[in-house]
Amino acid sequence: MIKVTNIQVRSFDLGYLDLYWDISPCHEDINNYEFVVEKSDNEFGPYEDLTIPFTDRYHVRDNTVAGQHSFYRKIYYRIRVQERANTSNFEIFPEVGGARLAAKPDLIALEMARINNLKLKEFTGRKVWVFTRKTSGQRCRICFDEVSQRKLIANCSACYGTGWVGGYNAPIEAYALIVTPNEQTIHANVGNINLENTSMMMGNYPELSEGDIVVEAENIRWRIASTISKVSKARALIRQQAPVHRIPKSDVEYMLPINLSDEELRDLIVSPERNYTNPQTVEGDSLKGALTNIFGEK
Amino acid sequence: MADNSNINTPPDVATFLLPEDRLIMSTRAWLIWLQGLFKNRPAGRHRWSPDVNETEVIISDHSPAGMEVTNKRPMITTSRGGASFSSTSINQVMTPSLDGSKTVYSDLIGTSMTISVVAREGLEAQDLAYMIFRMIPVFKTQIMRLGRMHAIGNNIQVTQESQHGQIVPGSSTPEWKMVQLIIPFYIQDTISSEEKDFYTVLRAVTLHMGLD
Repeated sequence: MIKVTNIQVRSFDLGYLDLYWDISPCHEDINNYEFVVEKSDNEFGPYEDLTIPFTDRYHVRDNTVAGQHSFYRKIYYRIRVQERANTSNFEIFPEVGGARLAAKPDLIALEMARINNLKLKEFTGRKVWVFTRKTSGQRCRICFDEVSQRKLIANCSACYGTGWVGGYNAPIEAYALIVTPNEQTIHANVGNINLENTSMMMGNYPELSEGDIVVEAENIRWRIASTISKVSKARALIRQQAPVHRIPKSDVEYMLPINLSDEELRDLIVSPERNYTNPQTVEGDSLKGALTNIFGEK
Repeated sequence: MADNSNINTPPDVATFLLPEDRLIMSTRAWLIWLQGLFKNRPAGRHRWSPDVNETEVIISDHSPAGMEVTNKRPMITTSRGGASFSSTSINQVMTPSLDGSKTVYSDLIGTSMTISVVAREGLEAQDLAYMIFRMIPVFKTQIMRLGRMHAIGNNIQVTQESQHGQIVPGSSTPEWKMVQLIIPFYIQDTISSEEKDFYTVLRAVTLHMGLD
């Protein structure tokens, strides 16, 4: 199987995006293989075929992006290489995620992001699940009014209040530090309202957008607010900080499923286990356990 | 998963249903008229298309629920003003019946529609707003029919341009200018005692209130 490398997305025109790629040097006959470019607005899909299968070309122009003016909408591409004689034999490039119009991180940026992600994963952060909000696809036929471009009912379980069928993409596991908020109760004319607004620190993945939902292990659900600060090096994302608003428990976002098995739910650990034991103390614990905490399993 | 039974989700309906809300009905009538008005313009002259990626002008109610169309101009948005009964009949009853067999409750509801036209240039916004303004008398009958309105007032206002930086601050050149039209109109809403379950609801609510 031939290998695709160096996928680049480029354009100085709002009407299209150009996708370029190379293949690794090989001795196989390239006419035995076909390329299919796939496209999605979410890094982990679902991807749809943008092109029909083609052979021995290394450039595709996507002219379906005209009219999309949001600063923050992302379009991801990946390339499926399949055998002409047997299309079920295929490989996808890049192997993880997708390529998009973005700066390539340099080595310093990669190291900065790695250290920040390590800090969040091993020390300051906790495991969370991020549901990225859909921004395209099929409009909800139950609650979305095409004339007014508004939703007519609340808590629609077909689109989870987004106006797009499905509402959110599959959750992504990540590590984040959510600052403990002040517990507020607003004594409004309509009654008492619990309110929690705070901020969240996260690494460079997944890239956050307004309206995404973050779920903590205690089933506390947060919505990303509208001003997100992103630290980058030479335009490559290093880390993110976003204000978050706690979603009221009566809202439909609490129906978004976290599909863990009974065992996974029971054994869920959201911070490294060693943070809960003192490796210098053998009292109350076996020596084997203490050593395992320090050096890990054999 | 946690118990989600306290979430008040709507009934599991398979089709889109418009609510029995006369105000949204009138808003939709204004929007359908505006979309029709701009749909028939030549390409390159602010032609509206239902495809948000192809349309040259965005036409929607205020606070639309699709964030992918942000930053696109010109845009035309509707925004309903306050609504109030006009007390045009005694006890808001249209035909008082002496024997109590049939009662028709009816009144006029006075309200207004603000149409905001936003464009990069102030005069472009004004040009579009004035075109809508002068077309209202032409299409008044059709708008009233579609929105089941009683009347559209003649005293329609066109506001002045917004100031530079008033809508979106930060740019040294004007990027977002707005001109608004304010259109008064009236709806007549009617409830008849002959409607299905009228007396059942009346009796149940009266009993709940502890009255005979």
